[in-house]
Amino acid sequence: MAVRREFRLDTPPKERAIKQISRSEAIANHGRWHEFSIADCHAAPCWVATVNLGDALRHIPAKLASHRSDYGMVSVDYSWSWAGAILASVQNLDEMAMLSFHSAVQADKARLDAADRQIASQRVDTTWWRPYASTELYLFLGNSTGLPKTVTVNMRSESGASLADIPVTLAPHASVKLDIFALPKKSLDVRSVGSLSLDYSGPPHSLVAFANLQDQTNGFSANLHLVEAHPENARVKDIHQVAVAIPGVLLGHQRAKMQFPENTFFAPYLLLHNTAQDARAISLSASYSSSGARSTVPLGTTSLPPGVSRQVDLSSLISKSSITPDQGVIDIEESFSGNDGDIASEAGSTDQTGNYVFEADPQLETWTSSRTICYWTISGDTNTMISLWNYSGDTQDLVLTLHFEAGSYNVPIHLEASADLDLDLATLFKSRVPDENGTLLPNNIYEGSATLASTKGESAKLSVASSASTFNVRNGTCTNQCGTCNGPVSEAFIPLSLGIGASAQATGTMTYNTGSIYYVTTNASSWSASGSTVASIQSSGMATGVSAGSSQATWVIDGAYYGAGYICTGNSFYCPSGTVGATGPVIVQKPTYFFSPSYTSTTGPSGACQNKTGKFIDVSYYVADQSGVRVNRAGLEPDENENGTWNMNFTTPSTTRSDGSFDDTPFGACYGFTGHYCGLPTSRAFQITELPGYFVDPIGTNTTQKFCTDGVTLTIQGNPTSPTNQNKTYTVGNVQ
Amino acid sequence: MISSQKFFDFAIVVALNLTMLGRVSFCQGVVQSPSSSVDAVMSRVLSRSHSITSDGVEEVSWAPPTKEDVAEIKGLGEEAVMPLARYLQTEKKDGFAELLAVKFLIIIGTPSTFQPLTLALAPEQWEVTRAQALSGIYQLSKDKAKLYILAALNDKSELVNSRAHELLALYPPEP
Repeated sequence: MAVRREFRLDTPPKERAIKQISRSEAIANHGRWHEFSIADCHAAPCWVATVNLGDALRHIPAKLASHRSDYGMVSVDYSWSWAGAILASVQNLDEMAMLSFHSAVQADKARLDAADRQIASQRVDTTWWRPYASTELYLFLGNSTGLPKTVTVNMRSESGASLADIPVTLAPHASVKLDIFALPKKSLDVRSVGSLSLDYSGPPHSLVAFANLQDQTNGFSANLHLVEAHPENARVKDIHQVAVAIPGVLLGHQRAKMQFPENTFFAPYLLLHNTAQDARAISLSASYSSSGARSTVPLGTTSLPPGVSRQVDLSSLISKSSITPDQGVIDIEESFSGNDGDIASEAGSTDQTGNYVFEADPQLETWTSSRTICYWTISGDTNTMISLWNYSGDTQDLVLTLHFEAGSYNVPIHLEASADLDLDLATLFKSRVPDENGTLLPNNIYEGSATLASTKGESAKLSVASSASTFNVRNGTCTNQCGTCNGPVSEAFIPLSLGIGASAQATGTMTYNTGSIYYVTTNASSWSASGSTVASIQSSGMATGVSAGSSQATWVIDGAYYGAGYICTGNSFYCPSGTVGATGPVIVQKPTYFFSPSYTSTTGPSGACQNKTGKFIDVSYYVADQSGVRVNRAGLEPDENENGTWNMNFTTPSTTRSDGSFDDTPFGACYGFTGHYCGLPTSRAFQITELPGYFVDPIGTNTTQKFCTDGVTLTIQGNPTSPTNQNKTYTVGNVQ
Repeated sequence: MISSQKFFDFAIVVALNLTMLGRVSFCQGVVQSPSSSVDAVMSRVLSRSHSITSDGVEEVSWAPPTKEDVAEIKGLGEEAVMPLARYLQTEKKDGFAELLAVKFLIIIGTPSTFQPLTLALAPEQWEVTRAQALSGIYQLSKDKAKLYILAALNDKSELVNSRAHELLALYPPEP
């Protein structure tokens, strides 16, 4: 069953406490689009829930019953304030036939909506093989867009010759199932291999594709990796050395703890397909443990002309190496000179019956930040194996965090260069060993998700291939769980205001799909500003105000991991990297006005005004810039000039608060006079001193005031009158 | 405010200070104690609050300290704190004197000024002095000031409680 994902970016209250999935839908399909809601879920952080689609389809509304089919698409529609917060996967399980398939959400509606509307050609490639005469290959295609889509399905032989070339038209949101091995006019030989390409037009990943091999006679089942080059990748890099890691390939007799039947023996398989326009020479090597040490041995080089597919006889190559036939687990590396997506690979191990299939996920050897493993389960006699391989030449210190209902458990992992690790979760749960926080794995937990991160933190780099397989020995099923790259899903520039001559660190933010927000300052690859006459910015992000006005500044991080939320397996096989950044305003504010929002009547000083009468008020001000925008800056020193003398310290406090505010208080006078009396009106001018540079800015605001025994009046002038008149007169009592 | 006509009534001011502080004034040619220096500055500034209008009417309005006044107090630094604090502990309140002491304490701005400033929050102080002190302790230590600001939110003085609300708004929102 193929799936698609949609999300909205709403902001619910208490967003960090609860994630809310507002709607899940299954779409039954007979070439037309019908949908109904399955479940509403409230999702706590790191929460996992399972929805039984089979049950849901059995309760399909009566009016849709006639449209029910045995396949379709699922969408998960959720409300959350950032993208990538919800991961979803679908597992098809047929215990009777010992078949299992797994697919992960692929199309992201927000990405599709944000994508360039121009029609662009996209291609999805995979390789296929026919291990047994009774094996079938089914391809499921789904249109995640609201427009009709035509997909050209091209099936090719091992040599690249076309076996079938058919157009498939998909109505909006419709899906279709194709029996690929039935397409060629001539029946396929057993053990034949080939490739499949899907060509379509539209935004990247707007075609949801899923393919699996299945064999009802012996229980063989395997997912194919359908690789659509990431739009960010687009194969525009220069030819470079590419390495692909395939961790956790089983070899030889099963390990006792896996509890397969006695004499179960695993043999590896590897298929390669050259999607490039030129020949590629692929060098293979294997890493393995022997007597407590790690060894890497070359397995040979195979040359693939363009369009050619090939099944590599790994067992033969291994038998010629120093690896023993009963090694247990090996890690394989493909390396070639080319571009990242040039070689489509399928790898794994099968037992001698073909029933037990452990697929391995080929992954580009490139650093990533942390990753999320969507799902693990140890329900009943089902177990999950997490395989890690440090393909790099450096030691990797990692933390695998198992998330489950109301808790998490940390597994510290130290991997020497080239070392690998297979972590059997059922055994871990039974071990009853507390983690570094003293947490014990509860007995009543049977499912959850996991994150793999460097000990240096979620955003730190790690160079490890990972794979998670859920298997059940009793019913002979095994599926690889999806994983996703954690990384920035949105970037921002925090608007910066500063004074002329003042310097301040510009700051950006990256919001990860996990919800973490990371600040970008000196860690940016570069900072730049447009209009250096207003503000200059150093490569460290330190900005300096040059003149009053507004300019734009940009931060960039080259080689950042991004595309978070893409599934590493299925339609993608690596976490893409590239350039991220954001642009925002740097406003250089020149204090220009004093705006007064209000005043408050106060009492007079009891001792100083003893036997006298008068009125006092407290006048609130804030500093505004040349555009009338508030200057949120502490430490500005307002000065007043009455009768030709500048005087600071007339305000409370003597310098502005962080919001640029200050108060003129006490404002008023008392007189030794009985009855109504007013002093002569006086006037004041203002200036402001910007500390610590001691820039003195003239202030356009001026006031006139009159104090009386029973009143006080203040007229504030010289301020802008548009869009709001900032000139005011405050009068308390009788000032006539 | 600086009044248009200055009225220097040293006799009144000095007598006031002697009454308030029970201190002996300084003699020229003798090195002044910090306390004497503070008293002298205080007297000088407060005297400027008093003037006679062109109509011959006595006027009292706030005259802020000059740059020179501030420099003198800043020069005394920590030594000015206790003498200034004493202005906040007098039984008879002047209003301007306590307000000026608070302004000087804020200008000194050392941690030791926090406790004296809290004396200016007492209900018997002039509300303008109390509002000023509230701003002062906020400037000194946002964390330590928060309790006082929260307590002032329902103060019977509109000025004090509105200042408390303004200051509270300057704290970053709690997660």
